[in-house]
Amino acid sequence: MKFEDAQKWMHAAIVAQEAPDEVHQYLKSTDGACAHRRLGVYRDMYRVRMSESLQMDYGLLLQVVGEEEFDRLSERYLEVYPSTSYTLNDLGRHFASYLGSQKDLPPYLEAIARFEFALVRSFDATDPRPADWTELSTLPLEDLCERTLRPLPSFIGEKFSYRLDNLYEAYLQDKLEPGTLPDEGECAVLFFRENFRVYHMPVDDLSWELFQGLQHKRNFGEALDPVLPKAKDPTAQQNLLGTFQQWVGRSLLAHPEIG
Amino acid sequence: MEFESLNSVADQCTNLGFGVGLRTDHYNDFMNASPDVDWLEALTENYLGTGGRPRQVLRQLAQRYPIVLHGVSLSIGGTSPLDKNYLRLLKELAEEVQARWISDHLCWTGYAHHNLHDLLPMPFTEASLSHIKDRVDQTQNFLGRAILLENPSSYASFTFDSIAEAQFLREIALSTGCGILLDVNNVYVSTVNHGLDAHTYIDTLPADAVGQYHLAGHSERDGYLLDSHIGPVPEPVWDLYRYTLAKLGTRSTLLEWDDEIPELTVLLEENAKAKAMLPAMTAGRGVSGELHV
Repeated sequence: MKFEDAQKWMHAAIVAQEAPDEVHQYLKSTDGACAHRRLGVYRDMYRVRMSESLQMDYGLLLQVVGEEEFDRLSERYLEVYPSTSYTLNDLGRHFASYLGSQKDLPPYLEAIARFEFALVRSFDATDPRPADWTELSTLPLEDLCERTLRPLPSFIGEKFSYRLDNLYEAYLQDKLEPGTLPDEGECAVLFFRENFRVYHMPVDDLSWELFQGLQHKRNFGEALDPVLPKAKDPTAQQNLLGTFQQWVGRSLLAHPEIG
Repeated sequence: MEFESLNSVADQCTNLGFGVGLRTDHYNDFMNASPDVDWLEALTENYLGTGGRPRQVLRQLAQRYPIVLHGVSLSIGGTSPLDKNYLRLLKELAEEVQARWISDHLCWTGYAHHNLHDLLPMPFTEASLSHIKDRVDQTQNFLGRAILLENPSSYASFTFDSIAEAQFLREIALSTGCGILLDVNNVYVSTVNHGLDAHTYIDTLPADAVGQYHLAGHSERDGYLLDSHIGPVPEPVWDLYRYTLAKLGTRSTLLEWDDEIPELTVLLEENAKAKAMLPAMTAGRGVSGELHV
């Protein structure tokens, strides 16, 4: 028998829902354990490893749906998205979109998974040098507006149709009652990393729009222009600029390029 | 590149003494103080392609401790082409932390680019031997250094196997110049699981190629032993370690403990036990001496 064929068979036998019948053709039995039992060690370890890996990244989702349902969802997901990476850190990359694509599942599962994966992405992101406020603050406003100030890869924005920030806080504080579901309501959340810890904060519409502008527009001026007039009074404008200043001050934006 | 021109196992694997596997549970212990550990082994995949805290911690600890990189995803026995991106990231990381050496496992981890993230048992045949030799050559040439391959624990073997695992490992090492990371616990677990003799396994290995030892705990299951890396090193594994020291000599030794990870002090106590075995078993060979393979 070719060793390649044996590997192909064993791989399929591990991931299959049911163990195949022809195990004895491939694996030896001994007095201690039959071939089926030996294959079962690998089958069991595979399921436990994959589920535990997803549970680590999706702790809130696990609490909301319970362990049995989580394992069922994991197994369904892995049939469609088996790991193709050297690292298990990537295993849940498609979990949110997969859950969102399943018509039989409530839509808040996708939202929770997307929320939790934003935390993972922020934690693992490789960031370039951040912008320095002491440098930026010396620039005349018109020069500052010409600069491209992108959010760092670890500074992530997501918008949800559920108030997940509250739910996640309750989960972190171990105050999540069994059966608790997220409240409906638009909610924009920014995720960021500071001193190697990941934080999340809900933001108002103007801050969200500015964040989006920084991500997608040519430079700071183009990001700010459509947002600033929407601030209803000078205080609101100051607040918006203060938010921007905080982002720079907390090193959440990349070192600027001239846009 | 011929393996004679690679940074060889003998050049790399000086005896570093007694190390522990670097785990997130102990990051603060190492960052806030300098525990008395001779060296650290980092799980490669936890530090590749990430810009978060783990990489930063490893970078800082590399200033204070010798670092060895130990991987689980090379899949040297697999049939999918070697992952060049993985190797490139590995090489970069090794340079960044000045890794003393790089190790992975004698196994395959998946099929057709699907990774099961397990150390799956190799079919031991002439064809698979030739296949692995070729891939070890490719890997070593890419990295510019010899690698070490570890014997994994196994729970199954193939009906058509024609070579014993230790002989298989020996032939790879002698042919490619790669080293052997001898996991003493894995030898014990696999030989019990397959009804083989652990001493014969050790006796088969070429001493000159063995660059490092692993020690760990295991768990008894119904009909087999599981390489669980939980709990202290069991007495039969200590016995086999004593035998190995007498037969092959001292090497850098690392304690693995991955489940229900205890306080670092508990790991250090286990290391002290291993250290205490040295004078009696290898007269005249100091832990931090120049002895190497």
